[in-house]
Amino acid sequence: MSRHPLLRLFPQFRGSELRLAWGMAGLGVASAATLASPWLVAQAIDVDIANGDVAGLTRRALLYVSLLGVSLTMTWASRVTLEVVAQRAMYDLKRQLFAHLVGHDLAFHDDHPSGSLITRVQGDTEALRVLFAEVVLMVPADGLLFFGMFGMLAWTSPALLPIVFGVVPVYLVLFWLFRKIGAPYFLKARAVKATLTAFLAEHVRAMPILQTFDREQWTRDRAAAINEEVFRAEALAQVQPVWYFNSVMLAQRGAMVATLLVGGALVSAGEVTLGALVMGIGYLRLMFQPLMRLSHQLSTLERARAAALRVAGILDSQPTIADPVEPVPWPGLTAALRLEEVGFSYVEGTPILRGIDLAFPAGTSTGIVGATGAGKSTVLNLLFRFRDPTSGRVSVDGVDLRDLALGELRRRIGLVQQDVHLFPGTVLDNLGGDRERAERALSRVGLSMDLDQDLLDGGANLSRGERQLLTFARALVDDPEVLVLDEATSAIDPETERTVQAALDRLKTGRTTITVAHRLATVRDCDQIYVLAHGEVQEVGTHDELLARGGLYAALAQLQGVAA
Amino acid sequence: MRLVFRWWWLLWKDSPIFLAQIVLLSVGSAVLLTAFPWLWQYAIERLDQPPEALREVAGWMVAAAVGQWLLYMVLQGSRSVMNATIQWRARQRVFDHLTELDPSFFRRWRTGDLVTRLYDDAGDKISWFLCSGVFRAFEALLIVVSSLSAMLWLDWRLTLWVAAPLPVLIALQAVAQTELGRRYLAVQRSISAINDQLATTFEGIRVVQATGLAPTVAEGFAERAAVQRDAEVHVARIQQGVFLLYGFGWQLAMVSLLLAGGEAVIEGSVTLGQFVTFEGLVMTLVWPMFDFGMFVSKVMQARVALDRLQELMDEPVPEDRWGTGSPDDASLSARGVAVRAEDGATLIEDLDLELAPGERIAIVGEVGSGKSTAMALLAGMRQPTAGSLLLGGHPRSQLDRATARRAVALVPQDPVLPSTSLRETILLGREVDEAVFERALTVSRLAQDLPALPQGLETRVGERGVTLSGGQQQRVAIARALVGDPAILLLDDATAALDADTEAAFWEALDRSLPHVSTVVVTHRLATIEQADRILVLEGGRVVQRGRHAELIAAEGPYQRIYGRIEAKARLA
Repeated sequence: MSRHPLLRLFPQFRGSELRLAWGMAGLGVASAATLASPWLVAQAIDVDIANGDVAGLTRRALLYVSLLGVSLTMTWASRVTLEVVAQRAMYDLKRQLFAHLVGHDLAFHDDHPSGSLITRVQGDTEALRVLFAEVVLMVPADGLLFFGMFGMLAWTSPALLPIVFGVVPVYLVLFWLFRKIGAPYFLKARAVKATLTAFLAEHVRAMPILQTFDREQWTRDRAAAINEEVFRAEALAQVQPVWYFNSVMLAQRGAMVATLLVGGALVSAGEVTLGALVMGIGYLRLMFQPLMRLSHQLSTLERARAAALRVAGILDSQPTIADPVEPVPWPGLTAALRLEEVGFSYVEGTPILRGIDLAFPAGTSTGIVGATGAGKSTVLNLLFRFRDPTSGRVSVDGVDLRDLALGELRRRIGLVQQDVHLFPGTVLDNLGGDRERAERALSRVGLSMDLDQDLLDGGANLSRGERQLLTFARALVDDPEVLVLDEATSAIDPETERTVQAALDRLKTGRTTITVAHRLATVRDCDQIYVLAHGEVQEVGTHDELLARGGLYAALAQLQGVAA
Repeated sequence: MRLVFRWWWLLWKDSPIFLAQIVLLSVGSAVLLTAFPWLWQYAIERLDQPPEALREVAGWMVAAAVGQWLLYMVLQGSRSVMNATIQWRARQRVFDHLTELDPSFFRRWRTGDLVTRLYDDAGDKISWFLCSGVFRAFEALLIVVSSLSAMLWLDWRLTLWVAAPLPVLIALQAVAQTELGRRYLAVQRSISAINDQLATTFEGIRVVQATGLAPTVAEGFAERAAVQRDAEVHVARIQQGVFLLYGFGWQLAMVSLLLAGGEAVIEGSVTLGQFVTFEGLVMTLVWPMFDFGMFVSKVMQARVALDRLQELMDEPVPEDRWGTGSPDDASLSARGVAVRAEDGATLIEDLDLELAPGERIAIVGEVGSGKSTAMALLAGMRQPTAGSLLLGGHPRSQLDRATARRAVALVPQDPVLPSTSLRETILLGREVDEAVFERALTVSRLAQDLPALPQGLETRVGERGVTLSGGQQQRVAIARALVGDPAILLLDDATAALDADTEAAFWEALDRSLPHVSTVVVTHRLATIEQADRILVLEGGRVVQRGRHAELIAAEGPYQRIYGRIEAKARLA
């Protein structure tokens, strides 16, 4: 637990060690080649030009070109290799995250809106990849370059060392100042921009109503005020890197002049060659870029750390609804599926179900009706173990659902949701991927369709009826013993309704069915109907019995015109 | 390209001084940048002379460095300020335009899309390019020109040698950047495909789990993620190539210099000092190469963003359809009014409605029967496509805009309250008598909540402040409508979140304090329906029944059914 969140990502790179090693080695070679080039120039000045050796100069230039070629090829190849390593690692991490999220329980999903999960899967892994590309990859190469320059100078002309590297503390102080002074401005700019987004969203949405109040001018003025605030924060934030960059630049120039003055004296004294002086100045230039990168790298590191923490938080959170240690095999539904004194609440103290008993005998059909908030959808959630009861239990032939393997349970119980929900991909993808079973399910609902057909944008290229039948077929793929039908809340046209109803009747035969309904017409032919109110069973019986009782059901029936 | 230029000019024309300043500073800084290596030759030549000679050159160098530092600080500072200014101007321009657009525009466009355009497209996507991007490329051009001039001045043959790789580098850079832009698009597409899949999966997680779709969905995700991975690796290949071009491209020039320059020095046609100056000048060309590449790659992005802004600017502002008159009284009258949606579907058909001053009309109907459209029509947010609609005896087109708008106030179903202080949210910048404001608070029953709020009327509400309950939000919306002292108040299911007692108290206070205000109300509250002077029953956009409660409830028809359902719901709840 105490390990740094970023260290936990190391296992992601398993299997890529070779690539990683060769990529890093390549970068090392590239850095060495970069280091060597000012030295070659120095040699050309001190040896070839000084001796008037044209042939030597040509040799040296060719050496330079080959070195450059090596450096370029190595840099490119190793950076691409490392990018591939990073991309693969993040790809694996994404898959792992996604699989974890898809298997997570409903309570988790209810707490985490899909937008935030998308940011975890896409945004946070991207932040980690950028960390790799910009920090993990660059820092060793930059470090090698930096210490390499130190070493080269120490080796060839130690007298220049203090003056060339004397500028480093100045750089570091500037860097420290930049982070200290700049940070508040960056924070402020970000905060103001968040205000701006909120302002825009609210006022764009409210524009028509603001117009009815004749508030256009006022809205424009307010926008102008916020815009001005954004301008101010933004300009101040943008100016920060400007002074930093220019001051570093000035320090570099100062160091060059100082090197020239001190080094010039050394050259005239014969202690240092002219070529070495030129090399020292060349190194001062090379030092500039890695140092400019540093501040960017630090903020990347901070962002990645936060991302790693969030990702780890998700991977560490275990679903509370999971397979038992030793699952009991599905007993086969011969007696009944039951809710036994089941109580349930999402929030302690506000019960949704108050100890209800429901029985769904094998081979029969049951309807569940009630007003919104009566507890119908909670019953559905309990049947699929999307939630576990707070008290009491749900059982099949006496076996608690919690003792069954989740996958098994959900294969045995099919869900038909009439609010169509299709996923991007092919028809086959939406039917679970097994060709044979998919074909069988399709023919069972009387739908002929190309399995490899792509579903565009939630099935926009299918008719309403086709989409509905497809969801029915999906429920039948595993040939479940129990079918739970969740009635659509939105109305459909009568034509589609007839097709859908015929298909529904076909798929119900020979199965235990439970229908959660808003419209009573849907459940009138059920063998028994439960009427729920305030988390309790208010009435139970057949359609005719309930009508005869003259209670809540009868009142609802009259309203909906299904009395006859 | 003309679009880019048009916007550029539009956003720059009010800052001629900055424009001139940036141009002049760019020239100055480019010259000084070149001067620095130029001075090297004198320094090198003085190396074998007494130190005073060298010190003089060093002094010049320091002067050039400090001068360049100053100029460049001001130059970059000006560019930063103008980046922010351009953002400000572009965003304000588009926003101002939006405030003038017809409500139908806001029905056609998603809020999220508009916000993205105002925030992103009118922000970072264009501001950097239209200032920094353009002027960095300009500066780069100046640096190239001044460096090359300096080189030519020193030795034209050597310059040819050194400059030979430059055009090749620039061409390669441009090709690579263009290709990169195309590849970026592929990455963008793969990302939206993934986001799409993630959204559908998480939103349909129940179905995924109940139907055992998890493995297939995960497979689909892996496929898409692999597409994204490969697209990004492809981008990286090109991008790393581009980095190398600007990171190492100058070294090609350096090789030329070594070969040709070294020989020239040996021959004696170039001094060693000039040779070192050449080296320094070659180095100054590194960054300009990069800036050219950036310019080429960003111009496409800026064009796309400007296109998206222009699309909004091309939305026509409805022509001025107002006059100068004022309404005679607090009456509303609709005769044979029809409203059609943008796609031609009929929303309201043949609507007749007479609201006399001080009267109250209730509109009831099923979901989708046209109640909200009717309210929008009366509020002036939708235009009748047939028939006549009179406000205080006149069509709106004859009335003064401010007067007409002030006369009618709508309380919408879903009140959108700007996050600011409670007072500001109610007033929306209108100046009203303290008495009117107090009355609005009392009648809307908001006054009773004030003591419980941390800073009373100054409490910040909304997203970044105190979250108001649904009932409080609705009362704020009512107060907001009443503050304008309207003659006609329209309540579109605007009291649903109030408890029955509060709502009763509201109507009672309204009748007592503002008896002259006429109201049209869409509601599901039985008491409110029953007390209305008249009830209109809407079905499929048509009035199918009208009359008082007592008459309607006695007659067979839709009213009985709707009333019965509301009653049953009230009992079940």
